[in-house]
Amino acid sequence: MSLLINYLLPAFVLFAFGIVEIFWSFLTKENRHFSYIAILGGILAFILLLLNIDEHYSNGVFIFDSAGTILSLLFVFLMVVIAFSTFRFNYSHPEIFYSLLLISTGSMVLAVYSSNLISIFVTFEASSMATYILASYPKSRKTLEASMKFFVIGALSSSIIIFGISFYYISTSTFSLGYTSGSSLYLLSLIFLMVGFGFKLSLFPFHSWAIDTYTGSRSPVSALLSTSSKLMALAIMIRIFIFTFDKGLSGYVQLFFIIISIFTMTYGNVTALVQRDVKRMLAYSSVANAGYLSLVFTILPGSGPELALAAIIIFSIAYILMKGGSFIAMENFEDKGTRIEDLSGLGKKRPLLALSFTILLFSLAGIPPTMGFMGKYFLFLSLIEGNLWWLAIIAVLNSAISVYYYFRVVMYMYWKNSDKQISGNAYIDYAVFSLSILTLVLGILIPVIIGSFYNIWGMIP
Amino acid sequence: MVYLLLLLLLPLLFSFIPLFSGRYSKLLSSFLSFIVLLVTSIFYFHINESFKTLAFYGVDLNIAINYLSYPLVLLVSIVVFAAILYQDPDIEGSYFSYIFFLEFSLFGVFMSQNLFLFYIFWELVLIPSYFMIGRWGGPRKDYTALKFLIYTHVGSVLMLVSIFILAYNYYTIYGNFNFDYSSIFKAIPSGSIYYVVLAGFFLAFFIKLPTVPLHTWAPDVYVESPTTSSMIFSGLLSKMGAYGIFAIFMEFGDPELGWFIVSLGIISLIYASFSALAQRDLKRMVAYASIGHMGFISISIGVYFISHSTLALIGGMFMMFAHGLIIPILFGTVGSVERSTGTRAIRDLGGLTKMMPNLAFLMTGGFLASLGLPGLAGFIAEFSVVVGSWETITYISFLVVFGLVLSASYHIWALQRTIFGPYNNYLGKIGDMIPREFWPMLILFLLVLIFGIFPSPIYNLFLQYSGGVY
Repeated sequence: MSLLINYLLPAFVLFAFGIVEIFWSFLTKENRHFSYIAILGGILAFILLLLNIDEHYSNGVFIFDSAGTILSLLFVFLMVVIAFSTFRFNYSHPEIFYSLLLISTGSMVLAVYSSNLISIFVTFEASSMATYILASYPKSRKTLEASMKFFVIGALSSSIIIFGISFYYISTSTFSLGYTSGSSLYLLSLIFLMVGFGFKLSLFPFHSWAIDTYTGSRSPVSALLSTSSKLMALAIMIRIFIFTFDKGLSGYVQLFFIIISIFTMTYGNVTALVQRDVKRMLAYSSVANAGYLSLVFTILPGSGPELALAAIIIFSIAYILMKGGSFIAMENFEDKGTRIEDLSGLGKKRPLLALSFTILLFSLAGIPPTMGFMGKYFLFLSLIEGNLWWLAIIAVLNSAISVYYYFRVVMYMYWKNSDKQISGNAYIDYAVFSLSILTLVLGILIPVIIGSFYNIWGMIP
Repeated sequence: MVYLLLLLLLPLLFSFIPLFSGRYSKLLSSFLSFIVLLVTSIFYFHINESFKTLAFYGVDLNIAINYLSYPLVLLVSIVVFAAILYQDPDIEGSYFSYIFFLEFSLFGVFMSQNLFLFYIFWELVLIPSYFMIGRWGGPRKDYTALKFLIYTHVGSVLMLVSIFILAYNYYTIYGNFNFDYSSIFKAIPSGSIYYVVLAGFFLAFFIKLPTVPLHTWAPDVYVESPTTSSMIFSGLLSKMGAYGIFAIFMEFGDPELGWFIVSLGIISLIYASFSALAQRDLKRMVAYASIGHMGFISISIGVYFISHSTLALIGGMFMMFAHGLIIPILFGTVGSVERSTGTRAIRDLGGLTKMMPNLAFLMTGGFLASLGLPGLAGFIAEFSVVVGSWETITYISFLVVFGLVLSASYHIWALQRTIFGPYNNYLGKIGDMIPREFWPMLILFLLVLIFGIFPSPIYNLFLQYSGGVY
């Protein structure tokens, strides 16, 4: 099973189904057909990915390891859920939406496997291009604004990444990851790469596009942007920075990431406290979560990053389920307003949706025994193992602050009443419900299966 | 043994039943809670049971009951049974579900033998409590529910950091993760990190207790909740903090800390008593009384830290049990006053004994038990603490006695202004306690009386736990 094509096949299947979507549009314009095709392609890719979950293979361009496969599985799973939840979408040109959904997911799958700056850049750009257009679907002033901001910042970050890549090449004379050099140019390239990918991950000084884009674009698209797209950037950064730490630069890079992560979590949480708009609150909490995600870079230089690397996978699983699910749930309020008052009485009107959303919010707040708690638990445990217990305290305090704004939403859902009707359909409810059940079940299972998350990052280039 | 697991899971199973039982939910819930009470009572003859599964990275299902946790498990079953009997039958079935879920979480807190499991159950308590305050609370319920949540959650997550540090320290010494109570405390670190660990546990337990500078969530929660919830919160949630102190915080045994905790306890007792004197709302006064009594637990553990006085320690432990039985009577009778007269303001009441003789009997009994009258359960606890602490803190004990006098004065004064004295004719003709209010209160009061005269069934358990002879 070490043929390269076996590993590339899932991504190719996604691309192929993306093209099938385009051709299908010559036959019909009904949304559900395209949704079916996307779900079918997603399931096929999911099965193909499952087949090589234990396989390891690398050449100079790609590195196929279990960590990448788990992340790809998550991306494909979320894509299927999004395609399912948008079953009743009724806008013109549905083929654009679903084809770009498939293509962007396919590119993300390739991106998390890339171990060469050229292939990283190409796949990263391919997925970004697809998401720029997705952000503007369906056509309206609001989504156009979101997409425009996203595009301008995305172009800027791409150029910064290009700068980083060229510095990298000058200092190490290669594009492959895993080579280091002690020169100051190398450090410069790391800073450029960190800033470039930090835009995508919405780290603190580079986060402002994220708020407007996540709020402005349609909720299923926000679900994709705030989870899959972010985790792709995270995986790329881990692949880049995992090698940089044993070569005398670790002190600087670690300090840099410590400062960035503290600012990111604190800023995200404190600003989320005052938001009255739930979607905007979720956007800010997504910035805060980027802070938790970036904690992994502070632990990498420690003596044993194994726990941290296992923990980041667990946190990624939790994050994609809970954040993706919360944004998909917001689709119900898209037409009538997403202010916190608009969620009043959801517990009476749509009990299933309210229950699922509550579980997801509990998970985001880190209440056991949900997956969100387990992710944070193992991440913070790895911080303490890396002798950064004071950073763990800051992270834990941040997590405690966040309880306020998540539970306020629960409060409105269950014990405020309003006569306002809530739009949306059962497909969204079932999508959110499936994610919330997974959050709960995996949260209980994780202590049992954590051993299988050890040593799944293939480190040799 | 697997029966213990069944006891733990029984309330969880029962929490689903009231959802589907419609208008019979109260009847069914009373019956179910009685079953839990029966099963718990049977375990009196099987204390020291345990149940353990295989561990994965130090995380396992490890539950047991011992001489400290059994009385609390029993207390939970008794108070939940009484509270469900007391509840108005008009309420939705889901309220009873939350109560059973809370009972499950509390069982978990008291039974778990593993810090990881302990933390999970500790946090799980928040969810039903949050909904119970927020959905069925008084006019300021939104504010109160969030305040309660933030206060206790901040304490809990700091405890999580402490657990992490302990686990990591254990890992560096022994090479594997292990969260069991029997092992993890071998790895208490030294140096500055020691104080971080200590602070995490201290805040978690003393916020939940509550003790004075950290108490402000408690009066709001007790007052804004409906009577049943007040009975459960004041009687049982504060016991989580107390249990944490006796089962976990005691492992630190730091003599320097002893004086700090004793002074905190005394301040708590006196401050809460003065606050209670000043209250115009009867329910709020009872809430402060509850906080004041928790001061005895701080005093007892502080004294134990300084001089290892077992008598004071057992007094504190017995205080948990006695207070858990007494405080629900106070809240229950105040609830009856409110239902019958429509007000809780002390100055609008007066001479209720004329119209409500049963209430007058139970309320007087409850208040006297609360102030520590000999012959009732509260006295045993307070007496043990005061006598046990005399050797250690000598003249400072006068402050404790001063607190007791204050406590007696606000109880008696409140009785005088509400149920004795001339009848306030503006109240008109009012009815006495109705049966659903009277019987659970009577059961609790009889228990207080029995354990006041014959405390040894419970007292001996605590004695065996602390292994002391005095």
